[in-house]
Amino acid sequence: MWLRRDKHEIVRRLLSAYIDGELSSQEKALVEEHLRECAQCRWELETLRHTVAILREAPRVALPRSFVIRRADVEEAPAPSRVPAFLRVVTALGVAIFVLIVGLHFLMQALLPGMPAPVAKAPLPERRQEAVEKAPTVVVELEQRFTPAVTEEVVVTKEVSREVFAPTVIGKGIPRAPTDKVGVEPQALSPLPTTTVVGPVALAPSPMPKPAALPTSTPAPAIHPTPLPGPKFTTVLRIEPTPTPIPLYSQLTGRVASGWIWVIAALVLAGIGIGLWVYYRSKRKG
Amino acid sequence: MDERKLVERARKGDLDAFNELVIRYQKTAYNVAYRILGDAEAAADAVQDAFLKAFKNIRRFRGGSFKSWMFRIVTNTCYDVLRARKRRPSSSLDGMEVELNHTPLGDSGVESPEEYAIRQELNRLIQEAINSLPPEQRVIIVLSDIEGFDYREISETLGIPLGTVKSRLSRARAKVRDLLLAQEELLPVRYRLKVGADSNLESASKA
Repeated sequence: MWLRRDKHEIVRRLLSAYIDGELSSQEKALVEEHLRECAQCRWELETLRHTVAILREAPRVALPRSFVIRRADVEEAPAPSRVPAFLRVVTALGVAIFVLIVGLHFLMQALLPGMPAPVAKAPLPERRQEAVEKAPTVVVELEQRFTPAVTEEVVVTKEVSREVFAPTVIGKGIPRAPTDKVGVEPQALSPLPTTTVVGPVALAPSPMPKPAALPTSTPAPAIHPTPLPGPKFTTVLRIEPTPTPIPLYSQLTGRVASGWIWVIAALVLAGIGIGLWVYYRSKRKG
Repeated sequence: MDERKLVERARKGDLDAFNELVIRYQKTAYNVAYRILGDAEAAADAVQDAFLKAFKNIRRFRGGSFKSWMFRIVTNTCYDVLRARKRRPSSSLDGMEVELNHTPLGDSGVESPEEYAIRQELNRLIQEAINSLPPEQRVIIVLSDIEGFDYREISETLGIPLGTVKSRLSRARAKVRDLLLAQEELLPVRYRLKVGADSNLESASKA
């Protein structure tokens, strides 16, 4: 139970809301119960009521004028400083472009760790050797039906294969025989049911690590294996002419280029957005 | 026209629609500002400023009570004036006299000079009492007891919880009561606090 004094203080604080009928039924009961026994609270209630009544009788003051907004009041606003607003837009765009450049720099570093310089530092032969060593050996199952587009003779030239990182098929005619072993280099990646063409092979969707780039320009066909739903064979080698071998740097930049386009677009949009926002704000502030 | 439609049109930049809203609220807005600031001229400036701000920012109004949104801008503008005044106190407001509206409809309609003088005196006393309150209590007592906003409207307008409305208003009323009691003899007779009727008053006030 509350002490009488506590109750008195609580009720005193509730009297104002009691006058306005803003108490819960529980609070109201508490106040009314206390009012019966506390003369001071009755006095408080009465004087408060009277005060509120006087305030409600407070005379209304007459409007000195109309406060309707004139068109001129709102149209004047945007004009004052067009040049500063423009400069602020330019500044914002500049900041955005700066952020973009710095961002791209770091992005490039992050995406291309250890990216070799476009110009080879090591002597060419060494680099070629390195490329060959790094080149993963791909064993590709050959099906009997080689792509008809294939030219007459299949010759795997070591030199070209090293450079292009693909078994280079030059010449005319159908591959000698589906069961022929055309060439074998470092290691096999998959079991060979029948025919194997082994050697450094450029596989389009390959998740293999890329060897160092070699600026060779021998035109050579690339071999793209395509999985086939055959019972025996899973891959078909299609031999088609490929353009000039792409240097690694270009390959890498090409690979990430599509990603960059989005980043650049996002940053440019952000820049334009910031600029417009600043401009809009400055206009509104007038 | 429906207030919601007017607000919608005003949000699209229709000044005429906004001015309809201004006409609806300008009297209350001016009286609120006048009571909070205790100065007719400052009140007029504050109200004009508040309406302009409201029109420029009406796109930020996201539904709810337009009245509460509008009066939040009015009271905030008044707070700004009070703050500026605190930094740079200006001349005294004593002796100010404003034109009072005629008595509400329902009365005889004609007011004698004596009646008008009595109302002017009452007005002065009330204003003095309000001026003695801290800004938050001024605003709440003006909205509640002079302009008749209910607790929810006050809570929305000032952005404070209902409990705070209750306690703040209770303190403000008690303070005004004490001030009016202190100069009761100055109050017109019919406005005097007739507390003597309670036989227990003396013992109660001693307690």
